[in-house]
Amino acid sequence: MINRIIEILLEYVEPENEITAETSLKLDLSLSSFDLACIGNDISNEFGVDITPDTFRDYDTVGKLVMFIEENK
Amino acid sequence: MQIFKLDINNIDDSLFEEWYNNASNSRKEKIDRLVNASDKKLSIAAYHLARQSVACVCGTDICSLKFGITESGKPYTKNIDIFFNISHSGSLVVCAVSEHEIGIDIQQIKPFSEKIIDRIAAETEKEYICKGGEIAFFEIWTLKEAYFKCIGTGLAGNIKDVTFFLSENNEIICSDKNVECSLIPIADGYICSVCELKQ
Repeated sequence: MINRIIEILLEYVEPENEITAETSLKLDLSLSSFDLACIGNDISNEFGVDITPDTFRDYDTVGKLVMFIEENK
Repeated sequence: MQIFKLDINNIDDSLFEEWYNNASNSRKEKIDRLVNASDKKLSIAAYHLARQSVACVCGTDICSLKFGITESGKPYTKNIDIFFNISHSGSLVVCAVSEHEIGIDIQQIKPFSEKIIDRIAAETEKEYICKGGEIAFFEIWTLKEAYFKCIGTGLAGNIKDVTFFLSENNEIICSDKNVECSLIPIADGYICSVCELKQ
């Protein structure tokens, strides 16, 4: 699943960003609130998991986000 | 209320280096983590514009200002009684400075999935977006962002908890009567909103 999440994230950041499980969505990728809302929408549509702004605050790295999706799908 | 803006296209390498060298260690660490050059410029521009704008409004030296950050992540001035807020998108950084709590949001107009409208907009807002298209969508989005930044929570909780009605004569009515909100013409291709706590 992490590869698919990384693919989704790469649609919103410049391609030179190397994304791993440890990558922070805000501190490393500098994703805006609007980007995060769009990413949340994409993930919800694909995995059927409701992602809110609070989700990104509590699960702020790619690895934590994948963990949240696996636990809630 | 005063609004300041800065375009990172006007920041050349020497100016970036000058501002970076004058930045706090924590800001330098934040910039160093970023990979993309534009993100680095936006970060230093936001840091510099906030200080320059507050110093300009207060008539004080930029070096004498002390800043802190709340638990929810909103920056504030420690040693001077003034409020400010920062936002950036695309190549622009904006800063609002006021005597009252304030929030600002700027968003470059860009394509988005229509499904996101259901996630952020109340029924009355959906009607407005349906008529006005992507500009109307980003007006509603930035107003909500500016509101949540003004009250200091950021986009926590339900974004539909606050609603906006934009009348044909450009009046903006917020469901929270404690705030005044407006759309600020900043540049072509961008929508910018500010939200200020009433006295």
